[in-house]
Amino acid sequence: MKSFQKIAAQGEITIRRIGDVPTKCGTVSGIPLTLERGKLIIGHSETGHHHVLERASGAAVTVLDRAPEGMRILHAILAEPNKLIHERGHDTHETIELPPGEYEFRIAREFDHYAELARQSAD
Amino acid sequence: MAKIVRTKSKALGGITPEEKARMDEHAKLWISRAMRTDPIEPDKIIPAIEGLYQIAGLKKPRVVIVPSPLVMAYAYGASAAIWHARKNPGKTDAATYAATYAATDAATYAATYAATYAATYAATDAATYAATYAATDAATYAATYAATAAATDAATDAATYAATYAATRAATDDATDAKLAAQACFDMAGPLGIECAKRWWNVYHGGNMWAGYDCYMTSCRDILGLELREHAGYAFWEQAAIHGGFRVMHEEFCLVSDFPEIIRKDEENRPHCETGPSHRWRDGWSLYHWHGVRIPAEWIEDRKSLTPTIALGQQNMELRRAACEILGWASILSDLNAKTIDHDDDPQIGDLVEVTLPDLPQPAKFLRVRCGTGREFAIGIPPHINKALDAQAWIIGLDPKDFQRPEVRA
Repeated sequence: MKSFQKIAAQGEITIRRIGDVPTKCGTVSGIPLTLERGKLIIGHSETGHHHVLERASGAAVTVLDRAPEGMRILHAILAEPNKLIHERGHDTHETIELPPGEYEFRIAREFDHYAELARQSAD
Repeated sequence: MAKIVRTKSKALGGITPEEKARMDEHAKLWISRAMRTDPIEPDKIIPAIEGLYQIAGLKKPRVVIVPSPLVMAYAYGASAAIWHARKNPGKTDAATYAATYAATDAATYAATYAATYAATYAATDAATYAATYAATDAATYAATYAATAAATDAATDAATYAATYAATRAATDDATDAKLAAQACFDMAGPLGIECAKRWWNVYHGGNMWAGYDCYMTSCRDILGLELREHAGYAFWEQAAIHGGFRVMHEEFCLVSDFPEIIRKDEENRPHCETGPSHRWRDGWSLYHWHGVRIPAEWIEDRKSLTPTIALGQQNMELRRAACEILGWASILSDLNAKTIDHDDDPQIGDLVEVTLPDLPQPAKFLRVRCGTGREFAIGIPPHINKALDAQAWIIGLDPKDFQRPEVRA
């Protein structure tokens, strides 16, 4: 398991630690991330090898609604210690430790030269 | 907001939040029916089909369950041609035949599908129709159309291709299920059988894969509370949509396809599977798709058969892109002698390279990079970017001045 101070990456997901858990509840513009089969999926995989938070309890995750073209950006307040886990049995991205705090997850994009547009990276 | 009116014959004024919530759940139900993969149940589908014929004023048909749409196409072709020959000795005009037997479809359509739709439409005002349609038909359609329409198109293409093959007897390729089925059809019913098989669309209904329409109809009935005379006839259509797949309706018989045993799709509901067929029916007939693009089975089942030359030689741009994605852009770039235009000593930042790709007016840029697991990837980068670090910033949606190298990469 890996830990970090400010910036980390797990595959196509870049994690930025914004700070400690906010003492006041601010307003985040976006849509709350809903549970899928009991899990908060930060990065979807077409092959089912999602990047997920180890635990949903104490986690408030929002999908921001003004991301650049092709991007998906999530904002998270983790009130309890958590981990970002890659659910794959091979070529697995190592687990990243997420102490309580405020985070941003940026899901990478790529440019499709034939379609001439940016789209979310997928694995 | 207009006044909400609900009677057994009228639904006016739009829909309430509570109705919308129920419609969302209703759409999920029909989406699950459209994506059904458990086996067809004869005791449920046969009475539904017989009921459809009865309310259309047609005689009771022989209902036959077939294992896949492919078998349906050829069984229909052979059977229809044989029936036609019996009833019209000496006449073999396929066009006349097709027009005649499309009447079966028209009769059941008029008695059920169109009649119910027209009655429901008349019973709702514009606001109610628009809101209900969006929450039911459109939602279900959006969630299922790509996967189901792709299967329909692919089945038709395969049937037509194989029929052409059989008709011309161009027996040069390896045998496939489709060709064997076409051959059987030809052997039983000759050229007319093949012509009929190619026209199975004339008498085709989508069964469970036309779930959007049924979601709309049943939500008007079950959620808005409409009780229309036409619902009695529609009940058979509804049961056929719940309990059967594609069907072809002939005045003497009805062939109903079993459901696929596998349906795989991506997050945009496009048929897709990286390791096997996107659709497989219980007789083994399969379709392969890559993000909605139908691809040859061997690209998935025999990965070594797909080379960069084959991938970039595809005339169809969608097929070419799918092939490149299956191979991996890193492999393609290596084969194309990509030119490095910026290098970073950190392999996880990578090299920005450009290559000339078919049908593109300017060289395409890619960031060739190593991920935290040690694997190499090539990520498409917009033309205006000239530095590897700038490409890394663009990938995560940041200005280059705001980009920081990650402390750890897992």
